[in-house]
Amino acid sequence: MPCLLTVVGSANTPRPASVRRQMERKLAAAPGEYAALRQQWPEFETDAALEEFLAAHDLKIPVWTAEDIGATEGSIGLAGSPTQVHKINFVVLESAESKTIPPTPEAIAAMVAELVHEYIVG
Amino acid sequence: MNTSSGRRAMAEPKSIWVFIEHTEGHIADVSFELTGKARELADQLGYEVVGLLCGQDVDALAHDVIHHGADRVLLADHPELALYRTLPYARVAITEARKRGPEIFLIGGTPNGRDFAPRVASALRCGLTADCTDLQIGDYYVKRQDKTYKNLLYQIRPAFGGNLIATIVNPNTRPQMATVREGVMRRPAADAGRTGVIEAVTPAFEPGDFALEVLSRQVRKSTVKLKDAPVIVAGGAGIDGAEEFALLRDLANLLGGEVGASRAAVDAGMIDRAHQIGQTGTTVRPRLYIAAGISGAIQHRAGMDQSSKIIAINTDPNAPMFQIAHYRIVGDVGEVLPMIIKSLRERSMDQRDAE
Repeated sequence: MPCLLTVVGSANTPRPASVRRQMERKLAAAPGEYAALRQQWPEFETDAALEEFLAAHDLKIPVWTAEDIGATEGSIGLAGSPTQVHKINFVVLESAESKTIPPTPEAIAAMVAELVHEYIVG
Repeated sequence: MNTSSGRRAMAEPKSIWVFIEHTEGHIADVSFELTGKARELADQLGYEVVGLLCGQDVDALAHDVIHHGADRVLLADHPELALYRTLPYARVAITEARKRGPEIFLIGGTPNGRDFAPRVASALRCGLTADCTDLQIGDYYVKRQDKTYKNLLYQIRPAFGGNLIATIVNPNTRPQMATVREGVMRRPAADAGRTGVIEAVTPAFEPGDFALEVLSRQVRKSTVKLKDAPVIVAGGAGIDGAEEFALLRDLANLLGGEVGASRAAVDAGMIDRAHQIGQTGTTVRPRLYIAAGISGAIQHRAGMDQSSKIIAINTDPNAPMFQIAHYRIVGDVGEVLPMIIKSLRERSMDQRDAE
């Protein structure tokens, strides 16, 4: 244990989100949101006071840093990636030898005749 | 990794590996396609092409791999390898790759290949690029280090959702790993006279490798034969409802072809995912490709732009699909498709009358 599974998109139709749980958790916040929250609630004079309140009500969203998971700077992000982008090209669409066919029965029939003539269809 | 190349026996030449997938005694098309591509790249570099074949009683398949371009097959024949399982298969690849240090390792972008490749890449601490649409050899200059890396594998694929093609390299880690989906590379012709070395390898399993047991296995043969269809009639977001989609089927039946779809049509639930064409679906090159209501995102075009003739039908005259189409019809799919169907029916009736 644990057993890790991946499933295809058709494996399950998720139930709708629970409105009750959404209401219960709508105040949940991560440290990055403290400043904005404290403007709404000036009674919390410091981030620490707000955090204490959130933690006490199980509303604190913990955020892990690279340090928390023991990752060094060289092992994550661009520096940690063994793959590098050598170049990026815009796709130049090949303008094939092309014809514009008006959407009329006559023109379409002519196109079909041409395709039959070229042994593309039939 | 290059630093591990010291562990490689000196006599062994540099190599390009291909993961050989097989079911019920048949090698997957994509494995042959990749063996052919590996041959091409290896000839440029003077490397050896090595097929990695795991299974039980599969020695007959090894010759098949050689006939399609391999110089050597590493054959791991073991009862525990009878059916694909992530850990035992990956163990063989990881052990042998550490021992022999391949430069490049190519894997088919199949469900199993997409399971296998990241496991191996992660264990070997090397990079992996998924769903490449082209592979080339080239140099990579890093200005910061004023250093040129020679003869790297250019892993080329559409990127960032837009009309961009990225060329990705792995300068410092080996093997350079990439997955490629079925149908992207051309399958080489078999040469029954070709000879090579079949080298048995003994798997060095570890106890945890058998965490998963296969209790039963049911194979559903796909009834969708997109890859070999001479004609494909494909629908996209511009198809308005089931009735219009039925027109695609009518036309495909008339032409002896298959129905294809863009991702948008699949996501909208109009058709099963097995019909999806594009970078993450099937890659096709039919004689005739009719793109009905498909705008032509690069991911879709990557799976069909090699078609001999392309007819694009779209109400939006600026749809990118028009730029690669041979016949551009600016109009409503619901009106244009019936015209094509009618015209074909009339022709076949005329023919019957003439006979």
